[in-house]
Amino acid sequence: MITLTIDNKKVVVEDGATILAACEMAGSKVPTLCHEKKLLSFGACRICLVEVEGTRTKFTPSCTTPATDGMVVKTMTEALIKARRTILELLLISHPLDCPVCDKAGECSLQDLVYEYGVSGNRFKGIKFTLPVDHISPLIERDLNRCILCGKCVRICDELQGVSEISFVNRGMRTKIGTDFDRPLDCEFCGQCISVCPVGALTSKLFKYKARLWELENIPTICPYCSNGCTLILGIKDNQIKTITSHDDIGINEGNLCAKGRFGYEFVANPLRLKKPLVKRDGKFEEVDWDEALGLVVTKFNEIKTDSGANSIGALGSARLTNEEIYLFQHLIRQGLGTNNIDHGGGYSYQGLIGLKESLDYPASTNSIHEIRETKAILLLRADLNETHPNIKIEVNLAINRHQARLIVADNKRIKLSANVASNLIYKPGTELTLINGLINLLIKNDLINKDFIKEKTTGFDKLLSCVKKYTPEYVEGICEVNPQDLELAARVYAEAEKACIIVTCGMGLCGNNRDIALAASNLALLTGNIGKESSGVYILPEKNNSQGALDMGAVPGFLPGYMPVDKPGYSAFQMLEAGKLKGMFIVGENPVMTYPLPDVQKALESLEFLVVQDMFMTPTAELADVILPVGSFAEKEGTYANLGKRVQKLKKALLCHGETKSDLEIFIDLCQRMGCEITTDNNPLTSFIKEESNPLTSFIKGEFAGEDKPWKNNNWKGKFIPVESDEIKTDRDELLLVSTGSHLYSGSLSAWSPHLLEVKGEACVEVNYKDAKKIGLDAGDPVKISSKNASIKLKARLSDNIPEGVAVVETHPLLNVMVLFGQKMMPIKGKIGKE
Amino acid sequence: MDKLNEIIDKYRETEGALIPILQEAQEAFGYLPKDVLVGIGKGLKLPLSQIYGVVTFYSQFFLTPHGKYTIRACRGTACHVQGAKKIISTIENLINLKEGETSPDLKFTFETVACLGACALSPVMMVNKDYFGKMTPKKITTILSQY
Amino acid sequence: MKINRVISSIIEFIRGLSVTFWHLFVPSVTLQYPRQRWTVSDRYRGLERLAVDEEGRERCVGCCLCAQMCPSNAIKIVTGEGKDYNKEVISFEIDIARCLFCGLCVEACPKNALSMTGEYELACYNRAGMIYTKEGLYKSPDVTRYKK
Repeated sequence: MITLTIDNKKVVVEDGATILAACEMAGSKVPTLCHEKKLLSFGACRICLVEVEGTRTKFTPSCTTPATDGMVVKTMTEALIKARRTILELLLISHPLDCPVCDKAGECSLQDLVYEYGVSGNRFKGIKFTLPVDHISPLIERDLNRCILCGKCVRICDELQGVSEISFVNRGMRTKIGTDFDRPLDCEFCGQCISVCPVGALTSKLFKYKARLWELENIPTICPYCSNGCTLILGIKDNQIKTITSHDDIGINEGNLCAKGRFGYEFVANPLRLKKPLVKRDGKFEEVDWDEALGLVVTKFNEIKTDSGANSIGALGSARLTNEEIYLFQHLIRQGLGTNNIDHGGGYSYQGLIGLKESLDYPASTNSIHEIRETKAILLLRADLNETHPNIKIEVNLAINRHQARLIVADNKRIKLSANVASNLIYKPGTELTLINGLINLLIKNDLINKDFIKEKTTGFDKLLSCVKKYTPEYVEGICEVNPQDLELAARVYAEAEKACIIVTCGMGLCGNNRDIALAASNLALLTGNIGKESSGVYILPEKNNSQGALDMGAVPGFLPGYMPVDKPGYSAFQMLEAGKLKGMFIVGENPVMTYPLPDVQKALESLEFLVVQDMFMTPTAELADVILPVGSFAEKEGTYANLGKRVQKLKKALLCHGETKSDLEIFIDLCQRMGCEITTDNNPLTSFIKEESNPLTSFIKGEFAGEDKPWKNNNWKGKFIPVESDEIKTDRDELLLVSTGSHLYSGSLSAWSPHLLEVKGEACVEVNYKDAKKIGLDAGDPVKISSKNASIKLKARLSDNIPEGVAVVETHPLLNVMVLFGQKMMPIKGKIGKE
Repeated sequence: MDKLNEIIDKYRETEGALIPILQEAQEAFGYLPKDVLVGIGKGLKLPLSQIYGVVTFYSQFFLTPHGKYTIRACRGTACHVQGAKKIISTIENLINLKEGETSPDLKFTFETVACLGACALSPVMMVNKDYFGKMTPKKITTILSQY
Repeated sequence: MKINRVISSIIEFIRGLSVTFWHLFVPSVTLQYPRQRWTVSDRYRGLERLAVDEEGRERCVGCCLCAQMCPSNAIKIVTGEGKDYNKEVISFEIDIARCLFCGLCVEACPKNALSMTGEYELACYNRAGMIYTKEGLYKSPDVTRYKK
């Protein structure tokens, strides 16, 4: 601990803290331009100068100088003000004074400082830069003439994002921020550089000239895309979202957002959104009022129920609904219609969480997101975080860069995070379980297991032992094509770290063995005692914003809310979509025609007597419906989402309803009343669900975080080893192994309706290795036909070094259903690629 | 490209070896074409933008083909006083190149620099690694005719 | 006493009337509007006006500072991206029914695009007519001397 005096005020700070941090603690405001809390100190702008008594230099930069004991610091003297004013004048030599049109005006640090320090003229004269403005790059506009070279964008791109798209280029007066060879940006388009830019050099194209920042009403709400649960700040003007920003102190994301969160709001104001309920009459949709539409839904479902029984009705929910909506939806289906035929996410995307429930008795990621950054070893098991959970990637980068964590990447291709790994395991697609069993075998052989933990806290170790016996490194090499040395290194790195975590992604678009992979991961964690510790455990990253909540609230055929057992499980999603099984279906927010791996979804839906689709847009599924109920977007409703750390966060209503739409909750309440099933809450279920102590939901909706419920805090808790194995897939010489991968900017339900995101995403592609491409005779960008035993589709070819030979990676795309290639099992499949 | 891989392999274990690799690569290829930078980036697992930043920072690295002989004329204070302007214009006329240009036959590249550190000999010029001091327009003709 | 009071009141009455009579010969202040027109003062603050520069380009860049300063929220500006990636003022509306003619918007304008004119005949048959759009504001009469 260090004690120092700042502006006649004594403060105590931790060892290693900078003077700037001490000043902040003392309440003295020191201006900064290049300093950013999340980044390492840089010391480029020199505006944070302070006077330190007894030093030889007149001024000391406070952001880079560590505080020492007994320091006497002054932050605001005449000399300092003069010096800072001079620095501002020097910056203003080349900075264009186009504040009236600059989109940063109002929140510009330079503008604020110039105003605060009363710089009205400039003693120095010089030329203003006339660098060309980058209008070509999508989403991000770079006007380097406004740049003050603070380097924040370069550092955030490198330190947090790990992308390093931009860098300082040239030297001296000609220094600028640029890409290699001055090409347009081709990065992840997270827009983090925009968020840290203190001036208007980097701005959002979607917000360009749309409004001035001070006109916006800022409303914090939760992101509707992935399961990380970032807080977005919606900038609202005239009942429209004009921009989305973030704040370092609000939300779990600490001000970090990805491309989807920052730029994916266009769907809310998309003119194609449905405004009125539609009913199909003689093959054409007609606009009707709500009363008629809902009345028709109730009479039709009741007819089907009396004619052919409740079991001939099915329902698909969505992991994008709020907890309250999902609870009411399953209430409506179970009580109102009297069936357990309810599912979501294809019935397989949430299986990873079920796997954890089986082995650890806790159906969620074991630790919170921020604990990742302090771990010592990370195993990314089929987790291409750049593509699926960009903000978790930031945690991984922090762990590597700041806490010297070692990274093991196990994936079926080389991913972006592979650049700084300790061990890179590229396995043959679909052989994850073999690989993990091989790792377990090595750990046991090398005695790297935590025997006390296994003895006291687990059951079923013998079963695991006999199962993994045959998985010797040589055997694993034969199946996974992974080098035994790499495997051994990975085993050592993981097991020797004092705390290590495993990160697995789950969801539609990834292989279907979610449950088994989760079990394998939890076996590995239990074996090394990495459960119930800080910064360790197993992270199952589900796909959608409320995937966790959808499961908690029981939108599954096998569980009631709160994982209560059900008497007779209903049909799963795939069973429901078998032609002829059902007579009526109620699909809410899901688009099976575009996202399910079944080739005959369309036929099955067409064969239904009655189909109700509740969606924001006229999706291919909605086109088959008899009644379409238009709903509000995330910005137009209230409720709660549970993120992947089981943190329940509240949505805030920011916009008025779009047209005559209603929120899903209002529709469910109305339908519940019409069907005569009781709602045991006050008139406003939104708040009373959360408030009411007696409510069954309270136990997991309560509070910010369900941390205290973790079962391993209980002394009697025992983790179960559940051994899992998989079949081997063999390919012939002329065949490729097709594998699907979740892609960034994908989800379809929202991003398909945000034109700028689609522009960045480009066309649907299949990625193959250069050598395979040569064999087939493919060039980059060629149209190809790709076929498996289930289906064949047309795509564009993309060539890459990152894909191993003999493998073709099919990326999910919002406008094309690539999942049909894979069929029900959703496992890698043999297939052929031919030039079209 | 094999040459490049050899260079990278030599420094694979050393940390912060980017600059020596760039220097050796430039020596091997004459300048630093884009492919070489991409290759170095892949070999060292460094982002291309960072390498490009380093290359553009140092005046010793060239991204375009360079002449066989690099003529550097000093325009530092001492040389300026002693008539560097005249020296520079003479060179420009003689080899028909403007500052920073390379002759199409890749024989000469002409650069001006801020100081060559030999102010006592001002005005100074350099051809590759040889210094020539106390220059006069006449001397230049004889010197350049040697090359 | 009584007579005195009567006399003095008559005197006062005549004095009062004399003022009235005197004003019969003073030039009148009342304008015979609309036959007669009022020439406004140089500093009069009437209808707002948008200006073009020497080359005929709109001076207003859509910085919205006038809208921000307006105490009665009378100004509504919509901007967007126009030709050559430049900022374009898509619509600029002043609701004259709300305007106080305080002139704060003119003070705020960094581009000298907004000024006040001598136009005072702003009456209209409906509320919609009180909203002046960009086209109307560029056609407003000449500026008065009321400037920054």
